[in-house]
Amino acid sequence: MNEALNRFRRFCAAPEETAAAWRATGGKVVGYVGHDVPAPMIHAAGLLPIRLSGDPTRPSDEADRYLGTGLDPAARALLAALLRGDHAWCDHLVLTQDCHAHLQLFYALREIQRVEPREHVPEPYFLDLLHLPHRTSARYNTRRLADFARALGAWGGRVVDTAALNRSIGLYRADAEATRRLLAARREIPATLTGSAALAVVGARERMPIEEHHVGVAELLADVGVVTGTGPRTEPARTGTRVFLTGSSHDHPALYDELEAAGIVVIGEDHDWGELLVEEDIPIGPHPLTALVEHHQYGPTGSPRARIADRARRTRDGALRGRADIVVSAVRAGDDAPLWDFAAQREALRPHAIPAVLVRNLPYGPGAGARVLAAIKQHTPVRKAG
Amino acid sequence: MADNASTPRADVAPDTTAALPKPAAPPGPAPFRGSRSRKTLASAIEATRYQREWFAEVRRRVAAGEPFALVSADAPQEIFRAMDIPYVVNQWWASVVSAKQRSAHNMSLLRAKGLPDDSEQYSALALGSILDDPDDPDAPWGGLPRPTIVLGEAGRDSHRKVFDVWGEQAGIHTYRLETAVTPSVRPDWWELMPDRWEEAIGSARLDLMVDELEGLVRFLEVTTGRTLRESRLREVMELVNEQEEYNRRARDLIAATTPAPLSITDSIPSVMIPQWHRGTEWGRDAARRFHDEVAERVANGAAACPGERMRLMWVGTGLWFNMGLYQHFQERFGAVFVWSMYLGIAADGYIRHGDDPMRTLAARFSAFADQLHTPPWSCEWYVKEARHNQIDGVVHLVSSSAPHGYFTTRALEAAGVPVLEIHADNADARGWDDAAFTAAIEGFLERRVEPRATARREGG
Repeated sequence: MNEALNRFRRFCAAPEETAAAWRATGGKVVGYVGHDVPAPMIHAAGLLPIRLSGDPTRPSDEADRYLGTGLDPAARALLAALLRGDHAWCDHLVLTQDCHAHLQLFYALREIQRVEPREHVPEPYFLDLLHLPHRTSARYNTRRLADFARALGAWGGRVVDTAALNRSIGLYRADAEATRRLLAARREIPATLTGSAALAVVGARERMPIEEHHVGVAELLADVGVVTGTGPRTEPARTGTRVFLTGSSHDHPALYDELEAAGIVVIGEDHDWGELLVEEDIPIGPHPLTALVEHHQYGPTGSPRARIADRARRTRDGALRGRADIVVSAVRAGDDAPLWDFAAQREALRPHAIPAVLVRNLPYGPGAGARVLAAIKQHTPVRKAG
Repeated sequence: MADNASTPRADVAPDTTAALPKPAAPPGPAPFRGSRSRKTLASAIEATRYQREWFAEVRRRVAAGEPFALVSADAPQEIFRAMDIPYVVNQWWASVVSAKQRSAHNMSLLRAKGLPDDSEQYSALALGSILDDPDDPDAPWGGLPRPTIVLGEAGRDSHRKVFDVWGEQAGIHTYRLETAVTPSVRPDWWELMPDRWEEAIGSARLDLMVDELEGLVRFLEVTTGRTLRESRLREVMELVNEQEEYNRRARDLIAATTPAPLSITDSIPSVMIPQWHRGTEWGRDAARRFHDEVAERVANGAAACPGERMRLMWVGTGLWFNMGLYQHFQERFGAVFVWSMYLGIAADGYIRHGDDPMRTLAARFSAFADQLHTPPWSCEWYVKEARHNQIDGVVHLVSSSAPHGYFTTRALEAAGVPVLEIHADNADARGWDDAAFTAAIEGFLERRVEPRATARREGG
């Protein structure tokens, strides 16, 4: 189990290695920002999709100069990484407006390339997918995805047609189903998969060839005994305080690691680097673009584009499904959207006697755990992992 | 450059975080109360008088059972005008709440509901008014009537959430418009927008907005029983173009005249109040009165500051709780704020010509906010305006919620126009350090603006 998980953690920590291996075979890599970019489309073009993130351990001063300090520091860290050349291995760069910060990141990149151009930053392609639940938005999105398919075809040198899309969607569906089964292990009592491990599993999916990810998930499923029900359980069972995590997204495991080192088990989350990425299957059929539009427009999404009432329902359902002891909204400074969700989330949990706590103004990098842990301790005893 | 201590952001959700160690309370006196400006233009005084009369009439109409809309400044109010649905612009109401020093009170009402009181203040002040006691005798201007419809664009993440909260209020429908993107743009939008807006914005984005506006009309037809006649929409669109043409001519007069015939303390109310009445004859006539008054002052040699030595530009939203700041530097420095975005954008940002009134209206609003806030459009326009208005220095209000201030400052400095950045929120007085900011501006004027202004004056 540890060896397989460590491989996933490596894919998360060092996407440049994955990109280098892919490019060494003559392939091209499409780096993308946010969870709104349809990875199956990129795969259908014969390209490798890798979702980008910043480095929480390095300062973002240069990015802060361009974007100011009011935006989500995760987006600022990502801009800093791009400007440093950390993602120079991308042959193409795709951004969307899955959140305000990523839209502003695109505008900043566009302007930087106009007035202070950087050679190692690929020309940004903006995929404008909208999220209001309106038919007019869906029609617009369909045209944008059609444009994107043409662009991908030009990048990959192959036509992204219905057959190719359905093949890719099929692969992603199979992987999503297997990943869901694996992630369910952390909802067992006691949990047989940590939240940190779950984050690595999903995070790796965004940063490696889907075929390899599927193989890795199958190995892990065997390790946790899910497949046979009788296999050896090499991951120690966790009986600590069960936390459902909401609020800001987490593109690195620092908070999970800090909490679980103190005996907490993160049994679920509803941010856009977590389990919601594999929650809904994209249907296969004669209209794959329509299926992709509907998935991205109406499907599971993080706080920035979700309505408050939907967030409250999702958080409640996730907490109940995972038999959470407490729900924690951990919100970064500069990421205001989750602050508006919290009152409704707390109210939705009240009939089920699940306490909810908001901890705000958290940093992007390591160090958030202490405050979050203190908040949890105020409301539930921290049980030692057994 | 001055750097403000940011507005204190204490943990909220008091019933779940009360036991946590709280950040130290910010030291200092009671929240800042700003000073009012002194208006000199008859058109500004008249506009304020009309606004009070109009608002009282809105309150009467709503009390009589008419529908009432709260709309965003960047949303197509012309639809409501043409359908005779009374409306109030969210940002105008926010400026009233701020000017009456009630922003802290309104935000406290959100906090009492478990909502953040330090996020989207400008957008959320009107929401605070609705949550307030409807019989509060201290409510500004008698209080904001409860809207039946709230319209806005789906902008920032937290802005969307504010609309979610509106939608949860009993009896209030919300209608949102998308914020789409034009990936590649020509920087000189002001040259294209009046007649070549299809080229400036892109057909995809315009098609979307037209679709959404048709949906809005149907929504309003069904919920209010009112109708939209094409002929009426054409009238409204033509009146708006006429109004903004007067604003353009007024802007050009001020730009070309030294000393400036007026400062922004007069141009802002003279321009903005009629903007909230776009598409009416009063609005068009108010813009004409403003232009005529400016022209008369130019002809008579009247000046905002006869001893004008420096011409300043204020980039950013208005400091509604402290409008007196703009006149503070006239006596000692001869420094006059001659430009704000309000007259500038009225002059350049609204005029649209076209045969199809709905598509032309879409062209006005599809990318409206980008003109002011998104590079390269924003920064290149500020440079153009600085040159056109003979600006010696810029005070740039940078809000934490508005990125890209760097590019604006960079573009202006690259054009030889010195810039002082002030980091603060325009609607929330709680974080305003008046002594520090005033001192920063004074130092800026002495060190950087005066030399440039002297060179301009001596250069002829």
